[in-house]
Amino acid sequence: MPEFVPLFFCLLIPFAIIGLGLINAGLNRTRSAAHSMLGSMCAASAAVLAFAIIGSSLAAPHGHIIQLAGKQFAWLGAGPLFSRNPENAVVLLFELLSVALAVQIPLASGAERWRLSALCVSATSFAALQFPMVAFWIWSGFLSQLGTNYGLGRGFIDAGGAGAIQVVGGINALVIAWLLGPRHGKFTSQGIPTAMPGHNAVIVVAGSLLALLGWIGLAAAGAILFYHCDFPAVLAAIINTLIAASSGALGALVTTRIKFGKSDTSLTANGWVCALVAVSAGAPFLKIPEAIIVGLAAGIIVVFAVELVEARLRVDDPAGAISVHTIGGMWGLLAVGMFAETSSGQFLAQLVGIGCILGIELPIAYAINSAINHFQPYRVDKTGERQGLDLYELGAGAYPEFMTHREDFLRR
Amino acid sequence: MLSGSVIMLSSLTLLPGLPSRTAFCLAALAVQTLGFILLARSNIKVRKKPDA
Repeated sequence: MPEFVPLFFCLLIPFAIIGLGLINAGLNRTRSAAHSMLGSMCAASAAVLAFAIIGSSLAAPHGHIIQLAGKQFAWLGAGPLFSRNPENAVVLLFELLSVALAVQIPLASGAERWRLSALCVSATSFAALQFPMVAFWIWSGFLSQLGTNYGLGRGFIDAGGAGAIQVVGGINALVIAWLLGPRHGKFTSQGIPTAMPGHNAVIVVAGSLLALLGWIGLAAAGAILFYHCDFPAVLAAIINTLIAASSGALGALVTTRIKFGKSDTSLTANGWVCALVAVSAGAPFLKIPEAIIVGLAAGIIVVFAVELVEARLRVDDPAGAISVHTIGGMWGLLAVGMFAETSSGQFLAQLVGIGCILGIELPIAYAINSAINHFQPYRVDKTGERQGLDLYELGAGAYPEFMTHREDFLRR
Repeated sequence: MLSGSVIMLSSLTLLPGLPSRTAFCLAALAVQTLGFILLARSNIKVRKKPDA
């Protein structure tokens, strides 16, 4: 396939970044809307630079290899720093855009209380170490070689970054939400979560629709670059992405209708994005009925997952990022093992991949972010949270002409 | 959670057949789930206050 084809699909990925930025901003309250969009831009900038300078070396295709019981075990990339002479510049572009997308996910869970400077430091460490490590395992390292080394199907399959981008980003979102704690007024003294609706459902839905383009780019470019798929498989990836997203939105719409009596806009948008996340794992390898099942299940799962995270884990995640990206991503990775037509052992390969990502990435993310939080406190002080991050950190609101800020925290 | 990953990778390397590897990997996932539950419980920052 000509080299401009994956390049073209890579150029669609920024739509996913814009889409997530808009969703995050729309699900914030007005007082922190500009801060949210600026945070998206700053985090993406810091991540791109950190990955270009350090991360690309750790994600380079040729890695450090150790021998375990006679099998090669590639555990970390070993390329030159500063991305000098990248062997495949399109892969580098794909990974640069992927890391810019992945750092948007923690911004959603830390909304309205995460300081701008701290989120930039966190994004830098994420792009320099955590993302490259997992991206190497999945696309070049030992997880991709599970098929050749251990006879497990085609090895761990993750064409569009459901594991490398979404689950890793979602794990960071969970860690950030834990470290920051809930927003003031989110939980009553009895521990019951209260509703804090976002300020603009229109841009939430617009962002979700825009994200479709980005996910088409992720699925198609990943299929070509990492799995060398031919044209029909790439076309299948695009069709499956659209079909799964549609199924996810309808699944969430109907589920919220049954569960709450009325359809919920933000949860339906979450269902759409969760389905995009889920299908990105194996979009080129699924048939249309399987894509419908993956999307529909993602749309249903996300409604219950958002409630579980909020009510049971008592985590304040304003945009539902933990449920959408972590749980949606894991479901998509498992679905590849269930549906993809490969030799035996594919399901086990997917299980091993999920286990390694969760079991190694979560402790590392927790340790790194706890250390940063110690030296550069993540959470804004009470005045900043009450005033809103726009005024407190930027000096001007997103909607200065018609918005008046008032004290709307109730004593609970 | 780390020990779950170690069990998983060890079972792949040391065990021969697919059924035994699957069984050990599921056990490793159970260990990881337990680790996650403990971590999640230690991070619940909103405590329920008893009714007055």
